[in-house]
Amino acid sequence: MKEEVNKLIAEIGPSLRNYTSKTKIWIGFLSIVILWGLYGLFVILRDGHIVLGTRDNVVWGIFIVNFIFMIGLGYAGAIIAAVFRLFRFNWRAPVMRITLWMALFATIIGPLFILLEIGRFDRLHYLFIYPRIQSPIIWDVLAVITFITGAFLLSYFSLVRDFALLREDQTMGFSARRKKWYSWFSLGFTNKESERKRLSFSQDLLSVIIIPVAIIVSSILSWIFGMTLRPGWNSTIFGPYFVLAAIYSGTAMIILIMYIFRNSGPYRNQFTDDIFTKMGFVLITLGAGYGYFTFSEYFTEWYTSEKWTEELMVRLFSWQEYGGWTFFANIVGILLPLIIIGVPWFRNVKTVTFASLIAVIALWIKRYLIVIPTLETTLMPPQDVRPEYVSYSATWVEWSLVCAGFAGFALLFTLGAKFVPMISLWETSKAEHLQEKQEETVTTKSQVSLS
Amino acid sequence: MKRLISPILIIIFLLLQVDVSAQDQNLLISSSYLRNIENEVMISSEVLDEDEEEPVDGISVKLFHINVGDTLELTSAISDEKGIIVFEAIDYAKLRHDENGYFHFLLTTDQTDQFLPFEELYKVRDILLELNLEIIDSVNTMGIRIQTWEEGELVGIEDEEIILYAQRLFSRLKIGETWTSKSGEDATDFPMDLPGGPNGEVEIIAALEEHGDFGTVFVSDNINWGVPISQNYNEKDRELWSMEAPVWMIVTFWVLMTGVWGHYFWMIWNLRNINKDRTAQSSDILYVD
Repeated sequence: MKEEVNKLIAEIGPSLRNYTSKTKIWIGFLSIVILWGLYGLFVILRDGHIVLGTRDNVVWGIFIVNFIFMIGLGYAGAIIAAVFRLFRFNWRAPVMRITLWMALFATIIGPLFILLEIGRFDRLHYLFIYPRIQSPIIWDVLAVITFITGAFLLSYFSLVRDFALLREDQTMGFSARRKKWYSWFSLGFTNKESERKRLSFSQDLLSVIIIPVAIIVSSILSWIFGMTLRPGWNSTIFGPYFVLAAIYSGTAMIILIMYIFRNSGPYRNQFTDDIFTKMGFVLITLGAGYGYFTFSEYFTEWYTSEKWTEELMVRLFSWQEYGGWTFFANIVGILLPLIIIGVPWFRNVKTVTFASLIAVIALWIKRYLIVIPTLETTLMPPQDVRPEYVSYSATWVEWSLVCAGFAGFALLFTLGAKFVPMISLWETSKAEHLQEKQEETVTTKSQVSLS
Repeated sequence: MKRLISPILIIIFLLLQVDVSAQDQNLLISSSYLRNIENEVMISSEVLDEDEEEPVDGISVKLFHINVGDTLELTSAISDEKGIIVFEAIDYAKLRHDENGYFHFLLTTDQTDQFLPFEELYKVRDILLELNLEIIDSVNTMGIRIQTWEEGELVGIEDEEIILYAQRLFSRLKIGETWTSKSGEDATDFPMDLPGGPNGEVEIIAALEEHGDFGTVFVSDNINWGVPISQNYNEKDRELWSMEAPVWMIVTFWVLMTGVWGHYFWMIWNLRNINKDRTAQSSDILYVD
């Protein structure tokens, strides 16, 4: 297996050391977007929340939409990584690092948007000093903290062996400082049997725990909406709906990230067409389930024709209001990936990636449609209220911070890829080694049978 | 140099024209009167440019009360960007009306760069608005009487709409309306299903609103005619909405937290033990599956 590891390091190692001009331009661009977002934050701190589009009726805007979206990606990454590991999918090796890092980075960035929505930062600590266990807000705060810790541990466990391999590498000429970091993070791992068993057991146990944790925390996030009495939010299906939507969007995002690294780094041989096809099948399976939940949700609400629910339905499906977005999020975002990936003639790496992009955008819009139109459908008829107080329109400050969030997510991946490879060296080499062994065994058996 | 004299003279002349024309502008002030339930008077005025009918800000306006030849300065204020001035907290008891019930006010401004000095007499007729809450034939009745002065005598005001409100937490709830008879009186029933305080307390407000002669006047009274709100709940009950959470919720929460975080600490301990296990080994062992 040493040959497989050395071959991988020879392929990928230079990308860890070298910063091409493309990379520098990319990092520069992301930094500018983040700085623009920080300026938007400064404007909020200076002028108050009047600079946002939120008002008396629509009290939550695209910050909450982005929070739900990013946190969903985080939860999805953990569930996908854990399921892949526990079921020992033999093609999982190249995908695992991206999945785990998506879980970690998205869960770091997502909650920042909640803080942006809070008007009084000086009262944030009240959540911890005066907690009410009955409150879904408290559940969510504790759930996110618990989940981030689990995601961090899960990511770190998967890196220990790779840090050890990079520590021992003599071919890449890594700097002494980098080697020191690898040595420190590898915790002196030497792959003794006791260490191997301990690490493997910890990874398996953490994978087992993280699945119910991710499902519960995703459900808790949905209950912030579901436990209200607001039509459009007060739905018993919201828990599983959010879980499924999160995993659907997470799978799509993994495919997008794989495509970017396949085309911009030395990972073409690892992110093969076969992996894209398999991930595409995962995507459409989840998409079918998500489509069923979406249909069930809207159908039952429409059928009951309750007054306030009907107002919301009209708002969502009217072409003068949100009809176009509803069509895109719920029809195009579900059916198009199904067709592209399900039909063999359409299916290739680029089309699978395109379908994933559609799914990601559709799911962001879906979160928007969950939050904003519901708040615009006022429970009590507003009297003598300005129309702009009832309708929501995001300002440049909000868009700058949303873009900064996505830029931060991309920057974490970019910088992370410069420190460790985007595939698990250990697992990928092991998978290749096992495959070679299998092929050798088949060849030997056929030779024996012929003779 | 000679060629420049004519253009310079023309420019100076034009500049003088600009200054002169600026001083010709007049103001227009329209006012409204309000007396609240605390017997405080508020006069709200709008200052406009007479020609352009646009609001004028930054104009200092003085308010005087004229009574039998005496002029008493009440207050002054400066118009805001919408041209609005509010003279508030004027003590009603200090005002004196003439024999026909009129209060006379004088609004004045000084000369400014743009506007000529301005004076306007504003008069509003004082009224006596009474609210009588009594039980008539076992019916809770809200009676009102509105009167003004004519030649020193109180006379009823006919055919005026008085709105009746109940004061709620954030605003007023309309509970009735009356049209006065020739004597200036009318009555209406109190709604029997109106929630009140713990003992049924309700504040009832009678209002004459935005009248051309009388302005806006409010009077109020308190009475225990509302439906008492039940305050009967046991603070010690553990409910979803109470200060203390239900026991099952607390137990479930701690079991879940302990279970998950306990596993986390166990794994961190495992990581630590990897570090402690370190002994000198050949690096080839790293590649063993």
